[in-house]
Amino acid sequence: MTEAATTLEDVSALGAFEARLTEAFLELMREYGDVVKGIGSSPAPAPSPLENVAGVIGFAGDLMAGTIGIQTTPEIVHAMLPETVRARLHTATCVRDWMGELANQLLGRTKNKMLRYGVTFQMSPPTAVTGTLLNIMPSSSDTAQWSCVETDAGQIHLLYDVRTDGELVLQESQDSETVAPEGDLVLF
Amino acid sequence: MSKKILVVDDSATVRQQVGMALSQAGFEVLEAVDGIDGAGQVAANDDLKLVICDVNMPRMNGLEMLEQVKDDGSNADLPVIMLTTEGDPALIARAKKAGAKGWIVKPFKAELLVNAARKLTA
Repeated sequence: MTEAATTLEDVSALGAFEARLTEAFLELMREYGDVVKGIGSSPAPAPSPLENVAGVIGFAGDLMAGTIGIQTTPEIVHAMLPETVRARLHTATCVRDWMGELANQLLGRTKNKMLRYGVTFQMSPPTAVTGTLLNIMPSSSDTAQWSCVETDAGQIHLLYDVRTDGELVLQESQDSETVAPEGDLVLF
Repeated sequence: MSKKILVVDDSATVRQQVGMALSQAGFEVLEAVDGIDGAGQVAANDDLKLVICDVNMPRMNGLEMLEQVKDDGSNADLPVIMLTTEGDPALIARAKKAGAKGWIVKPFKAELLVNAARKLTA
């Protein structure tokens, strides 16, 4: 007879999402960006409006919904383009496009990490925004929070604004189906 | 004549990145920006050897496109690889059931993608 699957301790849904999002953010910065020097204290102040390119993406599921955003300078976004295409892509359009894709990959990684708690959600297509001066206004100041990563090239800011029903508590299940690993090809 | 591959992704950067890797490996690359565009390109190019397709796209997502393309019996042998941020086993199962040949979670290694393209178009 097999033993029942063991579960780890309860965690708050918002705490789990924040932790997994932060992990995913650092992984993404290391994947595409310069050396990550450190992550600032959370919550962090909102970025300067001069850091005027952002990627914003929404999500909604049975257990949680919200928005995440990344904001920084165009120069940092350009420096984060994949090496194979960086020399070819210089326009503002390219920078916006890549910022949208970074937001998409960030939320995708976070979503994959949240599967271990039995949480899933639908992702919207990302939106990239630029402006002379850029202020992202979250829907609610009560739930929105900024954090910040220091890199060799400068600061990259992360916004998350997540809502759940009441004080939702999650359990991390050790018997959850394995999420496909990043970068690997699964052939059917 | 070069083998023709269709890359479907709403990110121009990803299309460039994938396209460059495949072009350098000797493939001819077509691009589409979403599932509706992709389905149209499949219908217009009966000599396609492979489709590489994102999942989360506006207008029509990649899984919907896959199911529509495969509903057409003439595409039964056209291999499709999903290239996406999604790693959810339920979505992977849906793609497999619909007739996809493979699944890659971004970020991807160009060499792996090229090797998969060579294998599936051989």
